[in-house]
Amino acid sequence: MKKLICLLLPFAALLSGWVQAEESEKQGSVIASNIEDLKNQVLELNRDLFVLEEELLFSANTQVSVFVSIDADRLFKLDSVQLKIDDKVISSYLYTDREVEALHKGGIQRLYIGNLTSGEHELVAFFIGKGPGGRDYKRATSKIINKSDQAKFVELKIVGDTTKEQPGFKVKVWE
Amino acid sequence: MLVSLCVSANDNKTHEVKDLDYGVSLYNFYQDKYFSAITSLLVAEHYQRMRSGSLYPELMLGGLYLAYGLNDKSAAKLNNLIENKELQITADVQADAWYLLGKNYYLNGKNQQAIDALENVKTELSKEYQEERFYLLNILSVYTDNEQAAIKYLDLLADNSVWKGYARFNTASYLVRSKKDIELGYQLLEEISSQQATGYEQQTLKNRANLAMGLVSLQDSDSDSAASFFKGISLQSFETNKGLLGLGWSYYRNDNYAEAIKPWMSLATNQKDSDLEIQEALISIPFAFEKMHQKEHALYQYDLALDSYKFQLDETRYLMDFLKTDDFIEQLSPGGMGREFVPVKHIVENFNPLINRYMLKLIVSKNFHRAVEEYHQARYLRYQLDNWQNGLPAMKMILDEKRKTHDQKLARIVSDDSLKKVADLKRQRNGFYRKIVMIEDESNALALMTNHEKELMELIENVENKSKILGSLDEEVALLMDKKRVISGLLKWRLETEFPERLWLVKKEFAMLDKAIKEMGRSVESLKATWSSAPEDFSSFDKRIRHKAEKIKVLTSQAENSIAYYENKLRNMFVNNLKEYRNQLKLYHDRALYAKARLYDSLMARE
Repeated sequence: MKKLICLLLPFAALLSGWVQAEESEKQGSVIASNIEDLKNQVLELNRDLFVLEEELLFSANTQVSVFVSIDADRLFKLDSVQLKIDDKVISSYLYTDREVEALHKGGIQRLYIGNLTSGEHELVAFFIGKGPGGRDYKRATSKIINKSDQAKFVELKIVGDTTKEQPGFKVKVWE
Repeated sequence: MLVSLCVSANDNKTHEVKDLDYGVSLYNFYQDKYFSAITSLLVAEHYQRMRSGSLYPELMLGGLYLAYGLNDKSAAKLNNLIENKELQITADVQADAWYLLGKNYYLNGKNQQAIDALENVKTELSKEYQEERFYLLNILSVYTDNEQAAIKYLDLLADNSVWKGYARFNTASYLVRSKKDIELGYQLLEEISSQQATGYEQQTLKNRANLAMGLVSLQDSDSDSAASFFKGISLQSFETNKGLLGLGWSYYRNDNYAEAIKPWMSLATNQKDSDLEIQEALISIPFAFEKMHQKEHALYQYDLALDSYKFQLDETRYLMDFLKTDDFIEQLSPGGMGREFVPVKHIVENFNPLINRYMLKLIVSKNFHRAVEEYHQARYLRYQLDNWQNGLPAMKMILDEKRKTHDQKLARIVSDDSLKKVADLKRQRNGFYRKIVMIEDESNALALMTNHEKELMELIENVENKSKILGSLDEEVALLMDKKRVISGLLKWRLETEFPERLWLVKKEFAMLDKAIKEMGRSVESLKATWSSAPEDFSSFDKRIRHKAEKIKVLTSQAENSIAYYENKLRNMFVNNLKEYRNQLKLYHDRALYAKARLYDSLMARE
């Protein structure tokens, strides 16, 4: 609700715009409450369905999830990531500017969720983007992961080495 | 962004990831994808994956609920965080929780509760949030009619803070409006208008302050000051047209009609966007010419104004028809349903140019932004529901496949020889156990002889048997029998004395065997449990899938209702706004028509 200041000038057009810089709006209608309830219900349903999907498709003894994070102090502008497990491409992802920005601010992307049999597997990740000085940059990092009967979480980290002024790429396995 | 969140991540610092799911939630949050951000936290909560023990995810969930418009859930979450002693909340998290709770109450119009919550922040927040907190307390003091508190919080804001400008403007408006301290109100407005603006927001505030001061000066019949304030409004801003109109009126009030016409002409010739200031300028120009006794010129200008009004009435009629079509609704949602966040800028770019021309003020209003954001949230809910609806048959198929594979494997396992071997081993184990118990009960040391000892015992017995055949009188035989007795006695003595140790060793070995058999038994039991529970698990999955499918159906219908509600709301918002505008246009048109007739009459009379 816009609150007009009481200045009694005869010029309607002039007055119509002098409003307070900030305003508060009360929402109390039944429909607003219904919509709030709907949002809540869909959120709960969404959570339940994700849980159901994970239990059905990715049981803990075979589940492997791969995440991407950036802590590179702008030394590297990520364009895309390609992920291979046992020499098979399982995920390729092209990033938007908003996504890269979200990663730089500390967000973590869940790049892949899938299944692996118990035992050793080779994970290779290719990072493509722009390095220092805007040069094209493509690097790979690899790691042998040992899949046990527990869900495996792998983090692909893009880190910055400020002394070398170069980005670095690491794989961290979360236990 | 409706609500900024207190999150531990900072753009300029290195990020230490303590919980992957918290990071995933942040990733979505930074892209304004609140629905996904909340979902990832809820799923992590379900699996208890947050291992760091940090309360930031909880705090973030409270903030995300607020950003997503789930105010009650947000308040409940934050209150729990503050009040639940078991959580052992840190001072930092508590301060952030109070701050978010205060913001929640503020957005819900619960002003006193908001003040109480914000005043409960005991630890210094980060600078950005601290400044916003003072701003909120300032505006809440205005809402609760507490001028002293409003001034106190205004003074607490740092001079270089962007919030200071808003707080100053709001306080000034309040002081003038309520007549509590008009002088201070003017002084604050003058401070804003005399400041060097360094950014867009500061410039906007400066424009608004100049506009307000100009209007106040006009009201006080101080036309010179008014003109000077109106001149302080920058060109190409939302206040420009009001400023030009006001400038014209300032000159007009000083009977300087020729000067008054200049800014009005500028308005009238720049009709890229159409608003009421331009319409008023159109009719004011001939009015000024009349005052200058240039009646023919005035008549000409009335004709121009009338042409313009007629043209705009035609265009807005066409626009009104357009607003009632499905095409208008389509323009509200570029790029389909699957986008969780749609910037308003993209929607506006997609609009019919006439909407941008006639309804710019509505488009930039908070009401429109909020309604369109909620409309897209409803559409995204529908998209998610559709997505799951389409995904459930695939899940059902996978479940059926799993069930089929299980049944096939079960048939193979049941007929496998290994299971029979397990039963044999168990039987053997039980036999051993009985034997050991019997040996212990009877203290049967002979039962624990080694093979060598058994052979020795047999040899002794053979000696005895043979000696019986040879007869007892033979001296050599008697000597042999003595030796036999000694050896037999020694052997039995050894067996008796070593019995406890041998029994312990046997028991130890049996315990190891028992452990191995028990472990094997457990594996078999687990296998059996899996066989027996698998059908139940499958049926539970089946039940869950069916239940979710039904729920999706119900919620889809509710989501459709919500979408229809917002489409209706947005359409009404535009239609009503345009109706109002057209009514004003008609009014200006009729006034121009009347003035023209009056002018004709006066010209006729003169002739």
